[in-house]
Amino acid sequence: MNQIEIKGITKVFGETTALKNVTLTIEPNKIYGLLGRNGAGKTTLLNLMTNKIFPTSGEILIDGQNVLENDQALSQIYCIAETNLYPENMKVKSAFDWTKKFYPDFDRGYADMLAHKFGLDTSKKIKSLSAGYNSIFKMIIALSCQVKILLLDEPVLGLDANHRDLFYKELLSNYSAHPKTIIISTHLIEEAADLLEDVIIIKEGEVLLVDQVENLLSKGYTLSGVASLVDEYIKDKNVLAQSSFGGLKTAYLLDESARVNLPQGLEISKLDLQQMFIHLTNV
Amino acid sequence: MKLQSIIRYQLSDSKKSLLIFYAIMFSIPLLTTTGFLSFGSGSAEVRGTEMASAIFIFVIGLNSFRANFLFSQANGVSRKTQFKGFLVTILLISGVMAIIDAIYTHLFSLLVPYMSFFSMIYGSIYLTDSAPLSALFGGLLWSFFLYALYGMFGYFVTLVYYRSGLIMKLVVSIVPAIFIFFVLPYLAFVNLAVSRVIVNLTVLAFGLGVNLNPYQSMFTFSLFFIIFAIGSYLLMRRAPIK
Amino acid sequence: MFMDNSSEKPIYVQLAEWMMDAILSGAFPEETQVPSTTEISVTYRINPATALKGINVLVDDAILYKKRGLGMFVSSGAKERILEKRRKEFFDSFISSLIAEAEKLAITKIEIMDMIERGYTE
Repeated sequence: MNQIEIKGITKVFGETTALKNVTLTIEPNKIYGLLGRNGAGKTTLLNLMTNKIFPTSGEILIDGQNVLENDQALSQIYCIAETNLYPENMKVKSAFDWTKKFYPDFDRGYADMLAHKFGLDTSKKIKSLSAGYNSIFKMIIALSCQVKILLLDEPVLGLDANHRDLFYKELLSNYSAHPKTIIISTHLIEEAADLLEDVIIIKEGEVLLVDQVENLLSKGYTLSGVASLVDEYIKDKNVLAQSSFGGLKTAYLLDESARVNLPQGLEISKLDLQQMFIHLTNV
Repeated sequence: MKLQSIIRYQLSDSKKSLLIFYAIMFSIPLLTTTGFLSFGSGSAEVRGTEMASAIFIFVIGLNSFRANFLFSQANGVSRKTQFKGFLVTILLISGVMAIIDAIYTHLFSLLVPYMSFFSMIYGSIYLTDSAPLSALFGGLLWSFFLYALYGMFGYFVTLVYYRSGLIMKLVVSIVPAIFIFFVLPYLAFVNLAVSRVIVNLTVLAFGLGVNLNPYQSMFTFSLFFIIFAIGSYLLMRRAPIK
Repeated sequence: MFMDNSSEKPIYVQLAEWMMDAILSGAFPEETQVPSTTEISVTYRINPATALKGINVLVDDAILYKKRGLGMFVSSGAKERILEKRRKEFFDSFISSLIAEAEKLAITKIEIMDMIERGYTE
C-alpha cells in the first residue's frame, strides 16, 4: 500500500490562504494529474505532502502515518521540486552517489542509462546545467530512486519536444515495471492527458473535482448550432461555458445525462481535458 | 540509516575546508621557522591558535544549515534527523580539531616559542611533575568544549537568520552590537556595581579565581552549547523550505 | 498511430478498433502474439490501465486470448468474428447516419440508391 490521505488541509501564508480545507485520497499505484492554474496551490500541496512546509491545520497520512517529521514516511516519497535543492557545486554523478545513500534502492545503472539516453553529462556541475537539463537531472533521480510515491512538479519544464516524448515513455515503462503512485502537476495538459488515470483539479486553493480521466471525458462535450436550439437543449444541463458567434452558439457541457433526442441542426463534438480545464478554471 | 547518511554528508561537506585550514595552520610555523616568513622584530612567535580554530568552526557552523537543509529535504530527511546529524558532526569535528590542535601545540612548542591559548590562561597550574601530559589533556578537553560551543553558536546564528524576516534580521544584527559596544561599556564604566557583577561572573564562568580551574570554563562552554542547541532545535523544528 | 484526439471515442475503444483493423489486415495473424499492454502503453504514451482496458474488450469478444506467462495471442477464428461484428455495426454506423444526413439535405431514397449504384460503377 502507498495510499496518501489528505485530511482537511489548510495552509495560510501571511495574508493569503493557499489551500482551503483540502481533503483527498490518493489511491495507490495510479498516475494522477494535479491540475490548476498558476497560484492555485499545486506546489503548496506537493510541498505539504513531503513536509517541506507545515500545514496551518489538517494532516497528511501516508499509509496511515503522519508525514510530519517522519523519516520513514518521507523515505517512501520523492518529489521533483521546481526550486533546486541540491548544492550548487555538486556534480551530477556525486548527486547520484549521495542519493544512493539516502535511498538505498536507488538504481545507479538505470540512472546512468537514462543519463546516456537524454545526453546528460554526469561529470557536469548541477549549477552549470541548462533549465532543460536541470529538469532531466531531477527526473532521472526521481525515476531511479525506486520509491513508492513520486511527486512530479512540472517535470518537463524547459524540455524540448523530443525529450518530453522520451520522458513520458520512460515514465510509463518505469511505472509498468515498478507500479507506484505518481502525481504529475503540469500545465502541458494536452500532452500529458493520455498518461493520466485520474485527475485532480484545484482552483484557488480548493479541490474542484477528482475523477477518472476517462469518466470525466465521457461527461464532457461541445454542442454547437443555432442559438435558440442550443439554449433549448442546455437549459437543464450542466453548462461550463458558452460563446456566441452571430446566430450560432457553442456550449461546453459537463453532463452525465445521455445525449438523446438531439434536435436536427445541433452538432456534438469532443471536449478534451485541456478545453475542459480551461472552462472549469476560468474566472 | 538516514542519520548515518546525513552525518557522512555533513562531514564530507566540511572536509575540504578543514584540509585547507590545517594546510595554512601548519604552514605558518613551518614557514616562520624556516625563515620564509618573518614578523617584524625577527623573533617569531605563534600564539593561541585555538582562537583561529574556534573562529573556523564557527564559520563551519554558519555554513552548516541552509544548503544542508535543502539537500536533506530533497532526500526525505526530517529536520529532527538533520539536527541530530549536525550534533554528531560538530562534536566529531570539534574532537578531531582538538586532537590535531593538541598535537600541533606539542609539536610546535618544540620548534618555536609557542604557547597555546589554553596554556596562556591556565598554564600556571601545570608546572608540576606530570605537567606535560595533563596540560596536553586539559588543553585538548578545553578546546573540544570551546570548539563545540563555537560550532553550535554558528549554527544558531544562521538559524536565527533563516527564520527571521528582513526586519528581524536587522534587529538581530544590530541589537547585540549595540549591547556590546554601548550598553556593556556604559554599565561597566559608569555603574561600578554592575561592572563588579560582570567581573565576578566572568571569573566564575571561566574558573579564573585564585585557584585557576579550566573545568569550570568547560562547564560553562557545555552549558552554553546546550542552550544554543536547544535554541537551534526550536528554530529548526518547524522551519519551512524557502 | 491509432489515436485521434479529436475523436469522441474513448482511447481504449480506439485501441480495440485499431487492433481489430490490424488483425483484419493480416498484420497480426491468428495464433500469433500481439504487443503487450506495456509496449502499447509506452509506444503510444497512454496509461497502462487504458491499454489494458482496450485489450480486455477484445479478450471479452474472444478475439484475443491470454497464454499464461507468454502474453496475448490472436484467437483462431478472430478474423471471422471481427467481420461478423463489423457487419452488424455497419448498419448503425453507416446506413443510419447516411439516411440522417440525406434527410438534412433533402435527398430522396431513390436518389440515394442511384448514388450507391454510381459508387459501384465508378
